[in-house]
Amino acid sequence: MSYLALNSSATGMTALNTQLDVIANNIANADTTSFKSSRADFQDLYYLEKKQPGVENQIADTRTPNGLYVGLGVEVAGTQLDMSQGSPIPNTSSTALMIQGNGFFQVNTGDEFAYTRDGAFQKNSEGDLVSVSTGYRLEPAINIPAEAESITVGPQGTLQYLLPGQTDPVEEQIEIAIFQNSSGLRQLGENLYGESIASGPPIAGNPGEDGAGTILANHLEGSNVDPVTQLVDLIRTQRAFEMNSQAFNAADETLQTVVNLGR
Amino acid sequence: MRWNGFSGERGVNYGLWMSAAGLSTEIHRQDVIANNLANAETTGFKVDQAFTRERPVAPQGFGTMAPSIQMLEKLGGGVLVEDTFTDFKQGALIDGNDLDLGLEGKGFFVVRDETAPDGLAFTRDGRFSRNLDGHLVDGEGRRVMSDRGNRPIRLGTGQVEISQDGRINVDGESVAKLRIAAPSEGALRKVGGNLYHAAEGTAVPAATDVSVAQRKYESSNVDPIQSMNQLVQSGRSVQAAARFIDFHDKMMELAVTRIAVG
Repeated sequence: MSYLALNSSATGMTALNTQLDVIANNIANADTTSFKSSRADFQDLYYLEKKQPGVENQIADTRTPNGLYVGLGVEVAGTQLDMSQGSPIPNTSSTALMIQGNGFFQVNTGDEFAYTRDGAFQKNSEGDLVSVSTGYRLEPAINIPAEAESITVGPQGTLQYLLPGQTDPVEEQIEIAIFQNSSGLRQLGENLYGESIASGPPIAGNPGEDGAGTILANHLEGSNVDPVTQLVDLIRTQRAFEMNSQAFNAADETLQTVVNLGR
Repeated sequence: MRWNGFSGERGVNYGLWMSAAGLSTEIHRQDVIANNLANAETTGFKVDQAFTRERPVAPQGFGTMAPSIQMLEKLGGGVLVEDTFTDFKQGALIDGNDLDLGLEGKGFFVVRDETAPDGLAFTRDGRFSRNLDGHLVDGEGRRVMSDRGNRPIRLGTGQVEISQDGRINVDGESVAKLRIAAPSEGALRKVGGNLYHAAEGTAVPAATDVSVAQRKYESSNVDPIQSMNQLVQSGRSVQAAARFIDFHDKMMELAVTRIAVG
């Protein structure tokens, strides 16, 4: 039945439309701090078995080697995060932090922890270090007095500042969390990720230890979206969509021809 | 059903059925092409080709010499759908994530799939990731097998490097070697989800002529030009077959209205 072809090309158009949505979101976030690009993973749908392989051939006394299968189209199996490193972008703030390697900053959203690689932090009205974009408090909390001077952050996540009239700096420790499978994190928006069953529980620790990345102060992580790849994918997706709409038309015309038989 | 040859009165209908066979064959062909085009962006997808063959005339086909009209025997018997053939030619390798693997040459990754015969399925889709135990898994969470007794491969959280022959190093330490199998392509059948199942008891030797490319994955091997070409051809064949069905219809109409009326 030509209905198979109609449905197959419709699944193709639906899947490619999803891919278009994913690419559009990647391109929209080409300049978003610490954004990680996603991609849609496709897989073929089930196959309709019209004839099993190995049945007896009706003409010669042989068995057919292949069988007769017709595929029923395609589906989006899932979207996958590309957790590769973004490039460092210099920043004047000494609490603009970038993670080189694995790991996420932990922030407290009020009812649960969220994880982010967006290391743009500043002091809020109470002196707590909070995320610039969302205002969520860094976890474990770090409080810096208003009179503190020359704040620096080292590669191991040690935050140091001087109080007026003192020579010994005060030290605080910034922790980061790593995950067994970071591409399995839930995407919460606002550069935040949430723990999921697929990602495994967070393993919090000091930067530079047990596989966690190190901290680069005075820098923010750029988006890892490669505009060239995205545009190439965009064109491929668009053309593949057009081909599926052509297949849809061909199946439609065939049905129309059949309907008009004998008129 | 046994065909008892043709009487003179059935001669007109014979052509009608041949055209109808042509029409339904082309519809089958369009189903296969539509599935190929729907999977033009599916990782590791291999294109299917619908084949047809000439249907022998009835007396020949059934091995009898039933009384027949000689003229009809020369006409042939129309068309039959043949088995679908999967073309396993190499797809292009495209840059991807750290745990994307592409195969160059003949061979398949082996994943644990309880629904498959012997519990193993084959795939060319190497977009792998880690599960929460640190095992190497495919997009649906099926474990990828190593070459030692089909054990899953544990990566942990370290940096993974995979060599061309499939050896896996995590943070510089050798962990396992990927199993790349080369079952006979004729024994494989597509089951969806980018997987192939082999018939039970199929010999599955290790692939010899294959290399693994890390941070790359294999794209679909659907050739858009060829597929669109087939689609257009098939569309025209449908129209031609439909025209002939109309002609047969008109001839029968004439036979019924004019000749019968006299």
